[in-house]
Amino acid sequence: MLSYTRNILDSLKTSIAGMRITLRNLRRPHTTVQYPEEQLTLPAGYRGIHTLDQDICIYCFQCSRICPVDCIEMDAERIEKKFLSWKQFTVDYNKCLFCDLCIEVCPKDCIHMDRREGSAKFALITDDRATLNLDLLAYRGLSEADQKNVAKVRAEAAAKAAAAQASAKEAGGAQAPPAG
Amino acid sequence: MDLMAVAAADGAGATMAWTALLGLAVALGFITVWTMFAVWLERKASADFQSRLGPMYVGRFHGWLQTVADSIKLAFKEDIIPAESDRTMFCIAPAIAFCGAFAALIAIPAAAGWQIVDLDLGVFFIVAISSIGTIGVIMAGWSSNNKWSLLGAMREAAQLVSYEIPVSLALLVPVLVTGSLRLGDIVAFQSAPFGQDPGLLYFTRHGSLLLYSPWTLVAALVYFTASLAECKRAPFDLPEAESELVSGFHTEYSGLRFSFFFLEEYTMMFVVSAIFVLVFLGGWQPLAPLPLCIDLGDGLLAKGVYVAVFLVKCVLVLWVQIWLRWTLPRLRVDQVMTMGYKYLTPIAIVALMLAALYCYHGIRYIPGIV
Repeated sequence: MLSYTRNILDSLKTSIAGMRITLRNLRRPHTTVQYPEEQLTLPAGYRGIHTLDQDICIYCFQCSRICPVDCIEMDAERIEKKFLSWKQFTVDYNKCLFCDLCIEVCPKDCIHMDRREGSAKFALITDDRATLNLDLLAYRGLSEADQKNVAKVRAEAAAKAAAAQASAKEAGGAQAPPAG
Repeated sequence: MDLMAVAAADGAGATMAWTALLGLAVALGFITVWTMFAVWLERKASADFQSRLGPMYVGRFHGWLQTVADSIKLAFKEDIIPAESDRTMFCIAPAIAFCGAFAALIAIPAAAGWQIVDLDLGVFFIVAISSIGTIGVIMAGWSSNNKWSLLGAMREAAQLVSYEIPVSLALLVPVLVTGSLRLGDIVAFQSAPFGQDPGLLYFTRHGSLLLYSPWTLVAALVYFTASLAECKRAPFDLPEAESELVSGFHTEYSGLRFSFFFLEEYTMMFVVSAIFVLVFLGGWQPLAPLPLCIDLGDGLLAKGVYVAVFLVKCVLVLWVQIWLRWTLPRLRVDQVMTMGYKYLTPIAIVALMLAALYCYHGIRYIPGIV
C-alpha cells in the first residue's frame, strides 16, 4: 500500500518537475539560424573559400608549390619584365583540403581564406563537380594601373630608343666622311 | 439553436435531412480548420520547448499554412495498397477510425444551446461513439498483412480499450454531482449563481467542477491522463513510437488514407479537450474556473463570445497536452497496462464512491458549509 501511494506521488512529482523544465526552456531564445537569410557568425580562424588580391601577387608560385594536393593552378605572363598579365588562377575545390598552407607561405600576404572579417564563404553547393574548379581572378590580362604603367614604360623605352637612334645617327654621320 | 430539434418540430423528414447535412458540413469544416491549427500549434509549441523555430516559411507569418501544404502533399502521394492485403478492410479502416472520433462532435456544445444535436445522453454518447475508432485501428492492423502492423494494432487496441474504463468512471463523477448526462446541464451547474439576483458579474456556487471537491479534482486528473491514452498521445504513444521505430498499425498507409488517421488523432484531441473544458473547467464561461460568472445574455454576440472562450480554453488544454508530450518519456506497454488497470481505475472508483457517498448519503466534507 505504501509503495502504491509512493508510486502515485512520485509520478505526480516527477511529471511536474519535468514540465517545469520544459516550461523554463520555453523562455530561452531559439538557437536556430535561418540560413540563408541569416548567417552564422564564424569564428576568427575559420578557413573558407580563397580570395586572391590580384594586384599584390608577385607570381612567385609558393602557394602552388606548397599545396599538398596540387590544387592551385596559376598562369600569367610577365610584360616588360615586371607587370603581370593574368591568364589563370584556379583553385580546385574537389581537392582543396583547406589546410591554410598557401596562406601561411605567401610572402606578400595576398591570398586569404577570408577570415579577416568573419565573412568566410563556405557554401560549395553544386551538382556538377567541374564547377568546383573555381577561378579566383577578378580580371584577366593587365590591371588598369598596370596598363598605364606598361604604356608609360613602353613610351619611355620608345623615347629612349628614338633618342639613342638619333644620337647614333649623329655619331654615325660624324663618322661617315673619313670612309668616303 | 439545436438544429435537429428545430427540424423535428417542423416535422418534415426533408428538413431533418437538410439540417443533418448542414450540421455535418459545419462539423467537417470546423474539424478541418481545427486540425490545421492543431498541427501547426503542435509543431510551433514543440519547437519552442526545444529552443528552435518550427515552421517559418509557408505562409508569411510563422508558417501557418504549413499544414495546408502538407495535406496537399499527402493528397498527391501514390496510393499504395499491399498486395496480399484485404482490400475492402484496408480501405474502410481509416474511415471507421475517423468517423468514430468525428461522430462525437455532434453532441459537443460550444455555447448554451449551440450544438448539432442536443442529446440527453451527451456524456454517454460521446464515450460510446469514440470507442468505435478502436475497431478501425484493429482493422487497419489486420488488413495490412504485416505482422508488425498487427502487433502494433493489438497493443493499440489493448491500450484504447483499457483506458475506456477510467475515462468512463472519471466522467461519472461529474454526472453524479450534477445529476445529468447532458453536457449543457453540467456547464449550467458550474455557472449556477450563488445568490438570488445575479447581475452581469456574479459569484457562482461552483465555478468549475475542477475546484469543487476533492473527488472531482481527482476525477479531472484521472480523466485527463486516461484521455491522453485514448488519443494515443503523450506518454502513451507506444503504438506510434512503434511506427517510428519498427512499424505500427498505420505503417502500410500513405497519402490520403494516412491523413485520415492523422485527422482522427487530432479530432480525438479536440473531443477530449472539449469534454475536459465543458465538464471540469466551466465550459464557455470566460472567468471559470474562478467562481465568477459573466452573464452576457442570449444575443448572437454573447453566443459568439462564449464560442470564442470555449475555443480558447480548448486550445489551452491542447497546449497542455502538447507540453506533456514533449516532457515525458514514453511508457512501456506493460507500464501502460499497469497504469490503466492498477492505478487509474481504482483511483477513479474511489473518487466515484466518495462522490456517491457525498451526494446520496449527505456526508459532508466541510460540515455545515458544503
